[in-house]
Amino acid sequence: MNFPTLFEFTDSGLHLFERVVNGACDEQVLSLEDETLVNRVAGTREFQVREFSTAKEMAAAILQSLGTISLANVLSRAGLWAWLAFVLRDSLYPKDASGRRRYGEVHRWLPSDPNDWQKAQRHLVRMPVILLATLGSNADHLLCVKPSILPEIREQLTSQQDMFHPAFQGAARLLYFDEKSGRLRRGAGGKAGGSPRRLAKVRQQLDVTWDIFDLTANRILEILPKEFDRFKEAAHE
Amino acid sequence: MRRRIRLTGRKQLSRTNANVRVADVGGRRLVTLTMSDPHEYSGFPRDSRLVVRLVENKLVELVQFGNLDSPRVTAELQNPLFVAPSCQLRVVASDGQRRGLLLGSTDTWTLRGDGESGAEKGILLFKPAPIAPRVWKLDIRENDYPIVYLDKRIPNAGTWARTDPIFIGAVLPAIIGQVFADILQQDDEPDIPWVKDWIRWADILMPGQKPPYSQANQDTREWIESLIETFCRRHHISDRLVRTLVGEESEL
Repeated sequence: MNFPTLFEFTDSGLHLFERVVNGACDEQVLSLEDETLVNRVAGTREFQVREFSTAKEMAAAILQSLGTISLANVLSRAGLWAWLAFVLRDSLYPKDASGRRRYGEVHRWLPSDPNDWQKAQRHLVRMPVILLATLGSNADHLLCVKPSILPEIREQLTSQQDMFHPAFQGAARLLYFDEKSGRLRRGAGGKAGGSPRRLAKVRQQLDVTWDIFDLTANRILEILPKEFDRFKEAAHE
Repeated sequence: MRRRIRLTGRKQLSRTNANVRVADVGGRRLVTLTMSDPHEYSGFPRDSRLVVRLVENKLVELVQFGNLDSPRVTAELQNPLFVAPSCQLRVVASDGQRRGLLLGSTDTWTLRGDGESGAEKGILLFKPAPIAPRVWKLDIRENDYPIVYLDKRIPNAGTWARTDPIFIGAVLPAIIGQVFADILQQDDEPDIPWVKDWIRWADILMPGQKPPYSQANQDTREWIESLIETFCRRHHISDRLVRTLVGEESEL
C-alpha cells in the first residue's frame, strides 16, 4: 500500500485505533481516507507499506519519508506513531494461527510520552526510528531483528537516560552484533555475565570513574571487566 | 561536618561553585559557565577539560568549556529541545592512557532557563513550558526529580503552582499518585537518588509503612491512597481550598 505522505491520527482517529486494538471494533472501521480520523503530516514524503525484514529497514523507510522534518518535531506526536503502528500492523503485530492479532502491551502500539523513562522505549515504531536517527549503524545490534520483536537487548540498552550515545552503543555493537551474519551473537539475549543486562549495570559503575562519552568504542571494551571477555574475543575476531 | 568519601578517586566538586546558565541570544542558545572559586580546581592537571553534561529525554549533549589552563565562558548548545535538562560539571583527564578519566564532578542538578528562581529545589520541580492547551503536564524522568511543566502563559507559573490552594488541592494529590504509581512498578527500590528522596518523604508522612514494591495492584493502590490521604490531612488541603472558594470567614 502506498501513501502520498505520512499521516497522523486525529483525536477521534486515536480513540478509534485504541478501540480496534482492544477488540471493541473491527479494523475496517478505521478508514484511512476519513479526514476526521487522519491528517496529512505536512512536509513528509511518500511512504510505502511493505514487509520489512528488520526493524532497521523499517526505520530507514520512515526516516526517508520524514524527509527534512526534524525527528525532534514529531517525537511527541502520538497520532503519527499510532498511525504508523496501524498501517504496519501486518509486520508489527502479525496474526496468529487462529487469525487473531496480538498487539501486546499498550506502549508497544500507543506511544507513551517520549520522556517516560520506563516505557518510551517500548513502541515498536518510534524507538527504532529514534535509534537509527541518533545512532546510525551504531544501533545495528538493537535493530537487527524483525520489526515485531522487542528484543531484550533493546529493552536493556535503551532503559537509561544517558545510553543514547554513539560511543557506548558502538561498544555494545562490537560486543553483541555479528557483522558476518547480521544477527546478534549467541548469548546476547541472556541475563548472565557479559550480557546486555550486565552491560547496562556496568555502564553506571564506569560512569563514575570515566567520562565514557569521551572514549572510543574500542577503549570502552578495554575497560570492561572479565565477564565480558567472551564477547570481547568475538568482537576482535 | 559531614564529608563525602568517593572510592573512585574523583573529587567531589561543589555544586554552588559552578554556575551554569542557558540564554537565547540572536536565535542561538548559549551556555555560560562561571566558577566562583577557581581554587577548588587547582589540584587538577592544567590540561584537564571542563565538560558540562546535559541529559533530558534520553538525549545527551556534552558542552565543552576548554581546559583549566584556558577555560571558555560560553559555548553553543546544539540541541534545541532541552527544556530543563539535568546538568553536571565534570573535569576530565585529557592526557594519554588517562584520557577520559573522570577527575572531578559535581552532583547533578536541573538546569533552568534564564530568569527563573533556582531556590525552590525540592522533590518536585516546576517549569513554564509551551504546553497549551494543557495547563500542566507531569514528566517523570530517570535521572532527576519529576518535573511539572506549566503553561508558560501563566504569570509566575512556578510560584502559582506552589501556592495556589486550588492547584495544590486539585492537582498535587494526582501528581503524588502518578509518581508513586511509577515508582512502585519496580520490583524493588531502585538505586536512583530522586526515588530515594520521594520514598524518604513518604516515610516521614507514614512512618514504618513500607512501599509495596512488586505487590498486587490492590495493595499498591491502597498504599498510594493512604499516602495521599495523609498528605492532605497533614496540610489541611481541603480546608485551604474551601477557604479560598468561600472566603476566610466561613466556618470549616
